[in-house]
Amino acid sequence: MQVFGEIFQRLTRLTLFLTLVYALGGLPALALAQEPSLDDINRVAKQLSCPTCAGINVADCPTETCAQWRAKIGELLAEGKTDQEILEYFAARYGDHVLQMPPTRGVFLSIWVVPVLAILAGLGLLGYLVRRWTGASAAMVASVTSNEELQDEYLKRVEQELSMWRE
Amino acid sequence: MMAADLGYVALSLAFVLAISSAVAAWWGERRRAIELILSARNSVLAVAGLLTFAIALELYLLLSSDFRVMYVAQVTNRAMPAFFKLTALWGGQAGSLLFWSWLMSLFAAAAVSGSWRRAQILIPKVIVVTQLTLAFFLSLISGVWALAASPLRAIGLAESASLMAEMETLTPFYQLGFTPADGSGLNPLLRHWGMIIHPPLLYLGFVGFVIPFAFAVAALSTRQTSDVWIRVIRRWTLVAWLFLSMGLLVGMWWAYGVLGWGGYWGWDPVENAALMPWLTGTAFLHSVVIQERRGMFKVWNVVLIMITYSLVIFGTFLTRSGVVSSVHAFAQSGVGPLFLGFVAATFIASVILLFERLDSLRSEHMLDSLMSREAIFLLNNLLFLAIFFVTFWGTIFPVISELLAGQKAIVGPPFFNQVNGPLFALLVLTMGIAPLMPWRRTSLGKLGRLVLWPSVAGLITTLGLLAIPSLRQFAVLPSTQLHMVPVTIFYGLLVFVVVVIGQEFWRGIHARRRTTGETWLRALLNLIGHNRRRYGGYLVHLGVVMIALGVIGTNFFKVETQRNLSKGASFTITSPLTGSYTLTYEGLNLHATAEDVRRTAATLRIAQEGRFVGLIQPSQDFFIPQQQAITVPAMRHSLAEDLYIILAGWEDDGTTATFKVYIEPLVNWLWIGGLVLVLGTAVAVWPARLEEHRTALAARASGQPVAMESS
Repeated sequence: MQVFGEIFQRLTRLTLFLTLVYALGGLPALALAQEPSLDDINRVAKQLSCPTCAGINVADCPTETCAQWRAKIGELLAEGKTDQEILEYFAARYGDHVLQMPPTRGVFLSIWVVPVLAILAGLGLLGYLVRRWTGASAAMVASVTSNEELQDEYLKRVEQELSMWRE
Repeated sequence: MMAADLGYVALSLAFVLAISSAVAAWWGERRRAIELILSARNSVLAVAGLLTFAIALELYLLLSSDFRVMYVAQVTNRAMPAFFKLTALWGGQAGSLLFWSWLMSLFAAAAVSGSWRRAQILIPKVIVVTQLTLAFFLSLISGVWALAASPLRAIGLAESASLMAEMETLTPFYQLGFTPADGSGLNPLLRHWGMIIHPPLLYLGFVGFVIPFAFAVAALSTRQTSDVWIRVIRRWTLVAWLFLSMGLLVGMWWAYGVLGWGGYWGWDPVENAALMPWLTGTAFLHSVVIQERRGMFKVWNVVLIMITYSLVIFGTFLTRSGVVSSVHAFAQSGVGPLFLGFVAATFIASVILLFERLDSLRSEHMLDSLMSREAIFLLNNLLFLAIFFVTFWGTIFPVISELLAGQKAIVGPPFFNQVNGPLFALLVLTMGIAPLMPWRRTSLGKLGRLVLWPSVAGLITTLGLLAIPSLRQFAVLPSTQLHMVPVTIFYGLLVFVVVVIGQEFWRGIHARRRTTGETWLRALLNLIGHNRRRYGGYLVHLGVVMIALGVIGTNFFKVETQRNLSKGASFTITSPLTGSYTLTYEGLNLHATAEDVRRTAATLRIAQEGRFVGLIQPSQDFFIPQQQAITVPAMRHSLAEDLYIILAGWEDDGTTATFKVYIEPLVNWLWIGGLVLVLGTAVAVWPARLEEHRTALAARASGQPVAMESS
């Protein structure tokens, strides 16, 4: 039954589309009905992951499934769908995990949130430690007089070493 | 079947000896019995000998195509040339675990005998750690776990019992009940010199990092946390890092040249597994310098090397089993749980040890100021760990989402690029500033004077690129406005770093010339020769800048198109840098490149700016025994860019063919930068000359502060 539902839905959509095209008077139909180029298809396919093999995007994937997906993308583009609409189409049908760029919803929200929290926590810890260390050494610092000579410790060493060599 | 049986015996003996060596070293240290420790050391050497023998046997079996041995049948076939048969040693799981163990045994033997005098007090625990690690790997490939099958079955754990029984097939000497007529042969993708040297390099890096970890544990447990262990591991760490870096670079090179998708890094779990220990290892490499110079961050260094060790074990496992791609595959083999168990056990044990010894890790100095090299190194460490965490999180996310939400969610490259990209940019900034920051503290004025020229150069670069379109063309920035601002800022950063490095060299040379009147070249060579680690490090940084340039070029300015051409037809693709390429499809031909390989090659004429420059042949190889087709990309290299073409498909008679064409701006700077990085590291690890040791000794004897010890 579902199949019929889908066919029916598509037919209505097609009718609506044709009516619209007719109403608008033919000119935009040329633009919309234009065959999408391979590059257009790849542009969208790149943003989708192969559903069967780990990690590869649909544009680069050699499997039969991905070839079918690319054909489907071509169809949808020819129907005049935008890139975003096509991505939503696949995400709704197969799940959010087919999107190369994880969305900010569901389980995928955590993939964005956790690293940010971790980095903030790291920064916080670092800040705390630095405060503690520098605070404790403030007293010491006060007693240390100018340490100009420390500044270019290294160049001084070069010369020291050299003077030793010449002896 | 003599050889395979002997192999079994050698592996089992090595396993027993490794454990007994660890036990002897442990007891010898407790009882202060030097004979026991000596015996432990001899066992370490014997294990290395036994494993060398096992490797020789395995190579013999591979060469003689003894297909009764399961591993030989899995990774070779009769048609393969002898050279590939030898390299098939690391072409499969069992063989690579054997190879790993062999390297581990050699490193352990070298570390123990090499540091015998210098760090005698640490040796027993180094033996314990290295031999236990080795024993774990040997337990996997010597079939020891199969012994656990019947006790497990006796207590009613039938499932675990059968998993353990299967472990027997993981030994590289496992014999089938029959002799197959031919083997299945090595995966065609691996028949490339990049894939031949990539695993050994990676494993050398992995195994190398076990040694610093062993010394760290030894130092902690004996409370010898002063700088002895830091000095001993210095070269080990650098060597491990060198091999790991080379392994990563060669892996990228192979992916770019063989996999045929126009990229070199896909953030897949196996790549990440090798990158993660590199990130924490690089952080360790930097922060350990602070402990050497200022006696600070001792706890932090121990934590870093512990994480690196765990990641090395985890990485070895991941590169060989691909657990992340499926939790189910993980549960279906006995190796996964054993590996994770080992990683968890060693990590927990070392954390406990760390907490027990916290009192001996007091910092000798405080952080004097935020305007110091110590502080900037802290920032560098934070960034490395942040990148590590993002990578780790993205890598294990599929497992987490499958466990929590029942949906296996693999994370694609856009996530990693989006989050890690800016972090890497910040890292480049710290890389630029760090050499200008003196130890302890500096004043704004001092820093300002040093930063002045690099900043001016960087700013001019960024502003110039933003303002003048013709400059952009020169710097491979195409007309697209999309990433203009971040990318020009990054270009500015790169120029900043290069000028900082140049300025450091200039200051050193200038100082030498002022005191000695040496020629420029002489001064430069002496400068590097006497401070290998410092100036080798600068060379490495220069390499990193070049690599960054390649990464920017390929990430932001890649041009690609896919075309279906009929014979004689042509199309034009425009490069952001060198104008336009016109490609004309000339035809298709089929020929044999090897006994079992048929190649379909398309010929294209290339015209650059309308002028004929050459022919190019993207092709596809079909491997008959495996029934597997592999695309062979064709490339036209230049310093500015690569023209990279893949034959994606064709009509049988060759009347039409489909091509994917990429223009990869600046990609070759990635490989050149890699070479510079390797060269710089080699300069840093090269042994110091004897006379320098004498100078240092003389300085120490005369009560002067010890001059910077090179390497």
